[in-house]
Amino acid sequence: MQTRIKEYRTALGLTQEELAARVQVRRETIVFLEKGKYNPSLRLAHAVAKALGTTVDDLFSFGDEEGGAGGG
Amino acid sequence: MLESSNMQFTPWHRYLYRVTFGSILIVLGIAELLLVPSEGPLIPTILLAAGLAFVIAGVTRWRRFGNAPEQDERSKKIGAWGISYSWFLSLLFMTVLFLLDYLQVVILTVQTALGVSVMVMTLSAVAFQLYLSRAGDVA
Repeated sequence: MQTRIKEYRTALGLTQEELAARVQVRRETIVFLEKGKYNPSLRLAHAVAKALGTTVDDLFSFGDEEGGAGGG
Repeated sequence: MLESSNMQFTPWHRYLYRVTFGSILIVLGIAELLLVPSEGPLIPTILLAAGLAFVIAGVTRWRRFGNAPEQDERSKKIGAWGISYSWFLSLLFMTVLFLLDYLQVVILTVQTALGVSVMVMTLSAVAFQLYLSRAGDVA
């Protein structure tokens, strides 16, 4: 999983602590989210996207997207 | 009445309640020790240990987390999975322990078997949670 969280966060001039406070999680969770090591719930993904002024679709991408769930 | 209903429960309140509760237990422990010395040291010791644990947990967690949440979805997930892995490992351990005792490879007393099992459960839960916490996620 890859994310653009860091890109959006730095563009807004937010620190990891500030983003964590906005979405009510620990700073470590933001660290692992940015590294793509934590798979968040849909609720948290939505909260992060909202805090960064973007969409979930734009923030997260997966390596197997070419395969597509509904491909055919 | 209105004022109290408007009060918000902040992390600061949680730490304050922990420290207050711990302090009450410590005072009760000391009071029991001084006022009822014939009862022996067991109950005062338990009260003092529990009280100190509450005070230390309150202060250290306040210093570590401040107004940030103590738990979030990641830490809860890791906590739950760590306990699950620990439960499974303990089951395997106790099965091996049972077989060793049954085959008379080792002779265990009930006290030893329980003590070792409790230790394995506790340590493995901490170890799994620490490992998952460093890994970032359970998957």
